[in-house]
Amino acid sequence: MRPLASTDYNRGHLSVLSILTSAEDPGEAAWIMHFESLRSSPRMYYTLVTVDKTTDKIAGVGTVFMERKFQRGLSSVGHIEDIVVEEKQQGKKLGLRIIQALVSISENSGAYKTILNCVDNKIRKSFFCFLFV
Amino acid sequence: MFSTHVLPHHRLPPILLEERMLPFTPDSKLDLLFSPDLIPEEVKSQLHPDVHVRWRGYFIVTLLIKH
Repeated sequence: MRPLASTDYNRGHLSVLSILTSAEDPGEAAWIMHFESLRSSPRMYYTLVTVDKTTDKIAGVGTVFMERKFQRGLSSVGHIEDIVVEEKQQGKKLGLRIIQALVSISENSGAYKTILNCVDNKIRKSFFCFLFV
Repeated sequence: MFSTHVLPHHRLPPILLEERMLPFTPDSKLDLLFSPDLIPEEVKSQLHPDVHVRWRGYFIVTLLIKH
C-alpha cells in the first residue's frame, strides 16, 4: 500500500476506477497534469493504492479528501471517496485495509470526523466495512 | 586479484530472488502524491503479503463504494 504515484497511469489506475463508474481515458499527459494539480493542494487529497507485487499493477484504490472548516477551531472533515478493488483481488480485505488507512490519515490530519460516501446499493457493504475500522 | 564467486540460482537468498523476479516498483523509485509515512504501519502489516489471489471460497467481501 502506498500513495498514488505519478506513473500510476501505466499501472491501470483508470482501469480499476472504471469498475466503480465511468473513467474515460484522458491520455497520460492530462492524467499527469491532474496528478500535479492534486499535489499542489497539500494536505487535501490523499489517494492510496494497493499494488499487485507480481504484476506491478494497481489492485485497489481509495481517497480521503480533507474539507477545511471554520468551526471547531479551524478543524477539518475527512471524506472517504472512490474505494474500489479490482474484481480478481476481491476477498482479501483490501478495501477494508484501504479504509482503515484513510481513516487513520484523516484523524492524524486533525479531522474531527470522517465520512464514508457511497451509493445507495452499496450502503450495507460499506457499513459492514466501516464497523471493522 | 579478485575471484568471482557466483551463487547458483537455487542458492540465492530468498529476498534477492524475489526482488529479481518481481516487477514491483519500490516506493523509493516513485514520485508520490504525499509522504508514505502517513500510512500506518499497522495497516500495512495486515495487508496480504503479495496480494496474490487467495480464494477463500466461502466469503467474499465486495467493496464497490461510489461517491
